[in-house]
Amino acid sequence: MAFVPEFVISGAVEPTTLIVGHSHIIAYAGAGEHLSAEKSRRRYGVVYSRNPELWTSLSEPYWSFVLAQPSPEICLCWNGNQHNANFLLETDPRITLCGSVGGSQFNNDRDSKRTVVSYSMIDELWASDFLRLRQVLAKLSERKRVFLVGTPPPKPRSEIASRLESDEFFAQKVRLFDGDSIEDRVSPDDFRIRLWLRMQQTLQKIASEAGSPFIAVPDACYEPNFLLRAEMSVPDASHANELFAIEMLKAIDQVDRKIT
Amino acid sequence: MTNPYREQPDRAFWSRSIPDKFKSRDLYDGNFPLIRRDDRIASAGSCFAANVIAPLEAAGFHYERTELFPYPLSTLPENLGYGKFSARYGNIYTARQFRQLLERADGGFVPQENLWIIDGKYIDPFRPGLRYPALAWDEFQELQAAHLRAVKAAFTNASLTIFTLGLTEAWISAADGAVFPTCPGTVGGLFDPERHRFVNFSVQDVVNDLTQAFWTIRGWNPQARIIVTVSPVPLVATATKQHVVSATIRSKSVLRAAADEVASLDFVEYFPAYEIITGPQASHDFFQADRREVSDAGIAAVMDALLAHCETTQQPTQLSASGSSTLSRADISRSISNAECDEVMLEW
Repeated sequence: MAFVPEFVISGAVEPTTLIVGHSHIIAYAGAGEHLSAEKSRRRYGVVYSRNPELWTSLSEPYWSFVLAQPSPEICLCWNGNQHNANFLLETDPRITLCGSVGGSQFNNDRDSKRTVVSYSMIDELWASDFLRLRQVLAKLSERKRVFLVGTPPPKPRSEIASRLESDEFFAQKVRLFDGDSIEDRVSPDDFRIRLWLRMQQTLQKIASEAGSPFIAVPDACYEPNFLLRAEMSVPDASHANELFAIEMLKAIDQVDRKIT
Repeated sequence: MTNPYREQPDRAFWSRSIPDKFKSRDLYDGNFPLIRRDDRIASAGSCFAANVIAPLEAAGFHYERTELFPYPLSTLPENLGYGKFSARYGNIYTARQFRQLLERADGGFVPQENLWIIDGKYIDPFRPGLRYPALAWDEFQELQAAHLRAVKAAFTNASLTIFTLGLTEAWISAADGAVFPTCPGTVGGLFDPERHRFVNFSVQDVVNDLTQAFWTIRGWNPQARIIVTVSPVPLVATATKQHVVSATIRSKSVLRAAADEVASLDFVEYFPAYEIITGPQASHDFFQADRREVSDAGIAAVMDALLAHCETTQQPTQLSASGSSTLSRADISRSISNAECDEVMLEW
């Protein structure tokens, strides 16, 4: 029987920079090829597991495999679904975040029917996930140069609803809850945007504490209201496509030039 | 010879009602039922106000909650019982504290010392132990405003409020008399002898504060009824020069006398939880070994007496809206996210 390695590197031969992490790494597959040799000195390879059970829960063998590669750099995509994982659908009771913690551009939702939760409560909910990130980042940073990258912005409610409508398995489950339409049952854009901005703030803080550069999602990737640009979306509720990844890779080069 | 005692029932005579024939439930002889089957119950105060919640819900009564969090936020730990009560006000130890909470909820009182900023956290001085404080000024304002809306809603919606008096000793703001739930510098904040003063409320103070508080509730809900009790739990510590035992007896005596006066209002009933636990007839094991915490046996005796004077209900408590359906919403959100992660990997 032929040997099938558990982990695969897809992309450039002898990559200088490995794209590693959770499912959002897929957007980067092939993105590196679009950056011509003149524009980027980097050659990218995406590291993923052949074992579907590991796609949402990365384990020690994965990180050990990454560290064992000769590539001197790592581009780490961590999770990226925290804003969707529990809050894609409206909760009961309905909740909202208020204040400028996630960004000063919001008008505060004064809908008195929504329970206001604090950002520090959301931080607590995400604490164990970000603790794991800190541990992984520390481990990778011992031997590699690590860029921690921002994650794709949220998608409009209408797009998410459209995706749910097209999948009868989920549509049936979503229709069990109160609401006039599927879209009515999806959480408001403003709420998921606040969550996403808080995620990016936290990623930046973690990177800074670890001495790693943080690659923020550039303006080119989102609308003025922080929703992911339509042309950068894949037809699902959370992921971005290659166009998003290209902008992120350009941003790595820009940040790196400023540092060095 | 005749005299007024000849007309008194057996319960008026110690030798006829104590010790062998005593039943805790006999201590209450007010209006029946104390709690009606269809009552929406709110509670506030100190320990008893929290201890009643689980037994009442288990007996099928509706406990009003206006400041719930959805799953999974509802599973996160919280300090000091903030999550227990009808809204997230935590323990309310004095009548003045309760009165001011209601006045704040009604927009009638805005304390001057309304915010402590400590280590980048924006702390509510009236809920200093909250585990998840605000991180910015505008967030703090919105959280506090939302909380006060929830307080007003709780006592407006409730047809019955159970209020337990705990203490007469308190620390107040020198600026405007705002009562802090605990001395600044204990649970949170910093003590400043220039800004913070000690008070030990009198019977008249407590009567005035309770009367004001209860009429505020009646203003929101003209049909609202109140049950007032006195906590039997002694003081943790006294700020007076007295021994803590003497300070405790003084405090509880004031509260008991005040409760008696307020119970003359036709919508207020006094329930004798205090007597059940601390009266000379009470079992020694109604307190734990520290002689401060009420034992399970004591709580059971109080609840048995209370429920004996309530209408029975047909059904055990139903899950609130934050029960199984919210668990499913978060589960569906998560399963969509996870499935998409799998799909995008598969497609690649």
